[in-house]
Amino acid sequence: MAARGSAGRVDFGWQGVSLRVPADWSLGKVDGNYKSGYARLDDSEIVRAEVEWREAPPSSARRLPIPDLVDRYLEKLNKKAEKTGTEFSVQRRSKFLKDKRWLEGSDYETFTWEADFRAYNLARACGTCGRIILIRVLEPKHDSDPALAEEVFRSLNDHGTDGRIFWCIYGMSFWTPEELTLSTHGLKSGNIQLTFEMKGHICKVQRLSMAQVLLKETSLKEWYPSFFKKELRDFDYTLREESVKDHNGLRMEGRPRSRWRQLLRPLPFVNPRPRQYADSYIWHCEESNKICVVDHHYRKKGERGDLSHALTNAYACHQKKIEADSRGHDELATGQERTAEVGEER
Amino acid sequence: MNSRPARNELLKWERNDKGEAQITVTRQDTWKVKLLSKLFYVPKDRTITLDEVGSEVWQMCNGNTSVAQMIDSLRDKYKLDRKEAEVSLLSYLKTLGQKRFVGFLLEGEKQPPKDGGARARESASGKRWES
Repeated sequence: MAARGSAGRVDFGWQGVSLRVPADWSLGKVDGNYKSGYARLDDSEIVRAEVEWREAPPSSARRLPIPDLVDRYLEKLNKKAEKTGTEFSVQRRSKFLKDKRWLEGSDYETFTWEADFRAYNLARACGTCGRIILIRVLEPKHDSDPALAEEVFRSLNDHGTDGRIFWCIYGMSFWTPEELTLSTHGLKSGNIQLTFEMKGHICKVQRLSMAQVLLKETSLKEWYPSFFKKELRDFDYTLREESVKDHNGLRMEGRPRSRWRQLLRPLPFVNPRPRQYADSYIWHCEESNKICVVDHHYRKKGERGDLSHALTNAYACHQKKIEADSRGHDELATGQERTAEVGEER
Repeated sequence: MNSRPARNELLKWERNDKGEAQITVTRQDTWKVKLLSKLFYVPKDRTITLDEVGSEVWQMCNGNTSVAQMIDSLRDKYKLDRKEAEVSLLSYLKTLGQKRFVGFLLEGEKQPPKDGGARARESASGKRWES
């Protein structure tokens, strides 16, 4: 069941869409990219929230008004319900929101539908970026509370702030510059990995759980090269111990191996790997029992900049959780961090 | 989530000096195995050593701890996100169930049921659980 009341909330952030949701809701499915996509949040029993987003068409003439988009969406749902023989009812322009002032200045519609669950919906075209968002919070019919839906809707932010995008999944939260686009992601249990790209730069943010087990009979400095052996094989690297975000950490600086060495590989001209430089921060956060890795790979020697350092600074590994609060997002804008209780969501 | 995993009582297991659970699985005496054992050396039993987390879960498979309680325990001990703990644990329990190392007691069941139903009741050596 969803946690009621204001306690036990966690952030969710993906592709510029951020929400604050009950602590037991976590990402169940994600799809698409910044232009259009979908994310689903589940609790231990049912689907609790779904968000769909799409970039506004460049020409305002091509832009469909929100009620038309809602018509289309409901038409599809209706057809689906007819096919499966599910009872389906809709209430358009439903007045379940107590306070609508925060929606002023944007084209929006609220509606509810009821089938196996009751779904509170908000379709909105952002007044700032024009991005179209359809968000719904699902509740069991017998235990439906519009207040929770309203709280979640109010926490919705649908674009980056100050040129930065907020990411938060499974308690791993950080900021990236808007120019970095997500290219791949791996959401394995205990190993979350997000890779971003930007003209000749590749950044990877990774989090490994159960650090105490991984580092049981070894040190971080010994563990890192053995665990990332495959990733490090193309680099001549130096590894030095240093404090990262007040944690026991490592700094890895790598340069491409010599061309002669690459030629000595079996089949050197098949699938040649790009010659890259690397700059990484690795640290062990004891408070959250995680190992965090921020990698920056770049093509030319002089292009390093401070991307990996900036990403590391914008990464909240334990209690310093970045606040993604409702609408105002003043703290999001300034990137301020709040020192909340350790593992507030737990 | 409310089911309570219970170890197969026919399996022998013990803790080694590292605290890891070592399960001894007895060879099945089917005609195929008997035939193969005439041609090749087939050991009478094999030992499976579980890692630290696996051993902890194995210890909790006592028929009294529910899956939900196991998730909470792992979350607390290893500071895991709910989903992380849930996905890993369910996948692990599924493997243990498929190998018939554990069975799942449903609400109200106090001991492994006597007949029918879950395949998990059959032991790894092909015999049924004694109840």
